[in-house]
Amino acid sequence: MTRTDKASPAAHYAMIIDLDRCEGCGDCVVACALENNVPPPNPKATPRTGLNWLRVFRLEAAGRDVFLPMPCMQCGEETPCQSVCPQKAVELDPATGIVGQIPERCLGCRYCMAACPYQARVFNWWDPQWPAGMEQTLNPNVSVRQRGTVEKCNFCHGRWHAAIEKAAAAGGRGPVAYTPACSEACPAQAITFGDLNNSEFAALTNKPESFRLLDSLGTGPKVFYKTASTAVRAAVTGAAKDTPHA
Amino acid sequence: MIRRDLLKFGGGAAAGLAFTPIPWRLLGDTAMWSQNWSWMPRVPRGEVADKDARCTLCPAACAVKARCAGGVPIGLWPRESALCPAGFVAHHIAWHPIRLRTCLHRGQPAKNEDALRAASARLSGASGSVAVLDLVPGRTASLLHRHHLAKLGGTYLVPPVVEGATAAATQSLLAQPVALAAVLSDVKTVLSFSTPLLDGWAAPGRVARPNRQFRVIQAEARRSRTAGIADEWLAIRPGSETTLALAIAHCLLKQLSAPAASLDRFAEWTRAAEAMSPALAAQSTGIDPTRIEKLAAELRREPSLVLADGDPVGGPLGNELQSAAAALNVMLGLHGLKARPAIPVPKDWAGVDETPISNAADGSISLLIIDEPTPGQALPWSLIAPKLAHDALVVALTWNQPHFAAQADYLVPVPVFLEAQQDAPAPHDTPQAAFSLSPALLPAPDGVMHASDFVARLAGDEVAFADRLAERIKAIGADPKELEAGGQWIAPAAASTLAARRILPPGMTADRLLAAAQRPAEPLHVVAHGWRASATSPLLGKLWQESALRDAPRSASAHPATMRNLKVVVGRPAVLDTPSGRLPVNLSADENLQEGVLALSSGPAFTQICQSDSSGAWRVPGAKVVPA
Repeated sequence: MTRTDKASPAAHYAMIIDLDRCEGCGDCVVACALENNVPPPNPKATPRTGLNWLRVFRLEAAGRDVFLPMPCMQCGEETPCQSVCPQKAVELDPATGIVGQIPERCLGCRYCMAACPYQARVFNWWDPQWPAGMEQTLNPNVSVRQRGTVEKCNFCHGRWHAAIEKAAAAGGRGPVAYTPACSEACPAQAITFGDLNNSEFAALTNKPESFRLLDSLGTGPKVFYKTASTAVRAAVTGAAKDTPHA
Repeated sequence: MIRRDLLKFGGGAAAGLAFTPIPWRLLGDTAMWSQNWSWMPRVPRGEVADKDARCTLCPAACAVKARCAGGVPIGLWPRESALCPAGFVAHHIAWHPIRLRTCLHRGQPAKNEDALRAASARLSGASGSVAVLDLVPGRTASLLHRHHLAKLGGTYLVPPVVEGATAAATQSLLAQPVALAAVLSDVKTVLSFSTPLLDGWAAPGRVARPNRQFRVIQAEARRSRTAGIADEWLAIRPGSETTLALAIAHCLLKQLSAPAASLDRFAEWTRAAEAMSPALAAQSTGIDPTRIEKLAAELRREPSLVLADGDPVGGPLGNELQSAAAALNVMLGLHGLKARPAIPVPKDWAGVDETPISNAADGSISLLIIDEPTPGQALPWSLIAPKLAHDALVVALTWNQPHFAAQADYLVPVPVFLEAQQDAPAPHDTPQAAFSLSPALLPAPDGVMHASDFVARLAGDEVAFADRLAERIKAIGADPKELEAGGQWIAPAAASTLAARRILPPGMTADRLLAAAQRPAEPLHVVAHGWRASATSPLLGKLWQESALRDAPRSASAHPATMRNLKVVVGRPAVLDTPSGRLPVNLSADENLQEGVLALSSGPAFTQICQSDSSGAWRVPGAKVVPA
């Protein structure tokens, strides 16, 4: 199925990550976990089994550290995770272009994790636990997921819902502008979020310094990266090719 | 119909069922039903609203939006500028598993009144003196400690300055000593000696890349987070930072302007600098002599600042290096250093002066009260212990249980961030003398007691801290409602023209500088570092346990050749064995490190094994790594 086969989306949300600005502070990782009720690490968790919807990898290029934030790429074409899910727990929302993960349907078979070429999905190995009393600080707009399900970035769908409700209350309809937690948190303003139907934003993705990871697979990721350094670009695209599949 | 037909029908129906949606629907529904177990946390309900506030966990006092659900903060978000990762989860500290909630006496539950009675008894019959050790100086509570200690005849102790150490060292060189701040926006180049300049030293909004208009040259033995993203990393041999500073001064002396040469003690400084040629320095530092000459020229060419502040966990870098950095700043024209006006204090709050803990007489303290209101700077117990009398009583007014559990007689819980109004000390990276308050958005649990109230009661003062804070706000002339709503009072800017009187502080000699520059290297040089905010929330483990973005506490790395020499293997349990104690570490290999160097990310555990040397730097002499 290609994008043209589907109903024309009302919005086509995408993200541009400026690798020349990112300094790996981790604000986006913490803000993402806070916004989406991702629990603190289980004592047994490791980088391999941890529950991070947004991971930031450190590489070395051009004589400095380069940081590569990797959320779900929100593939728009031949979405690999959607096509393999036996439970229809993965849905590409035509109204937003966001690949949603529905934990209530997920049985934890992890086919989607195997299919994802970006390793952007994580498995929830442990029941979510917060220190006593800290449940009071959970975000009421995002449900807590049980163990045994797959989780991933959904461009802060809770924030999109809140924006839609706010717009509807004001009598508005159609696409809404909102900002995911990572983009709001970034002190370097390295993460830009917008709608590809907006020509000004779309123009940013068409610049020569913009690129997508594993573009040749034809999955149509909606996360774009940007760097003016060819060395950084080579390091990042090389690292993405070398990443072993789950 | 015969029995055989019935069986065929039943078998066929059972087989056919598998081809209908029923089993899949059952599977899906079961998955949905099983989402809501009693042990699954429930999200809070209530209206979601933002409240403007300030984070006072560090001096940056960043403006935040506290997003609240039903009145309880569920997240802190940047309001005007940016936050550090700990800022987002600063509200978690109230529920942190290590949070101290009840008074403990040697590990057993007690009452705050017991601690007060024991402290009063010690005061009435003491042969020594009372002292308050303030781990976060510069707050209103700090002023009150000093005021109350004046009544009690006690001593107000502060830990060694780490962040802001260069500014403090430069302060003593001025014609009219004033409090200084290092203002990075005023310079084009910053030469940083092992200072975590881009990793917590300054407010993130002021040093993040789009706002950063200065070059960073990081001279550091390990590829720290700042070194990794700096414009240039000078991989210097550990312990040779003073050598590099003197070699730069050696180059600068050739192009010296006349005013610097007329300063007091210039001959002493010249004697040390002239003895350290770039060629000689290259042998110790491992940095090419031509690079040193070029570096001096770069610093000379445009407004530059030299910083040698050290790491909040690894400790200060030593008086000699701090003095050398201050002298370089004087030679370069004192760029990036500005006078900071004082924040008004109520007239009747006169108090005792600050005393660095290293200056307190050994065995002189019979009652030590430690004030640790937030996760903050580490302080080795080896610096505190000699100052105590043999039967001294130690009361730690602290937010957490483990830090002083082994040493303190009483642990008294204090309200944490957002449980009571608190102010932050003035930041060291802005010339503005600012006053901000964090609001009280959460009810404080029963049994907590503000540190200031504890000391006040010992001094016979019944006025509560909240009332004292209101007095201070009135003295400042700020609007309390604006402060409560996240506003900030900023003092009128002071004149920024600075004039140096001397180039070295009293007591700092050329021989001391050269001795520090030529100190023999340790067989295994431990370079400790840490992130002071790491204890704010368990969620921050995302950055080191569930990813490798930061070094995990108790992790150590060394060059593969060093590990071969030590006969230790990556991934196997190991122990850092020192004369002061043993520390289990997880070892990893790092080819960016030089041979003979062990980079240790330890957290507060480092304070149990390090010692302060003659220069004031924290070191781990005689360390070795052995298999566990």
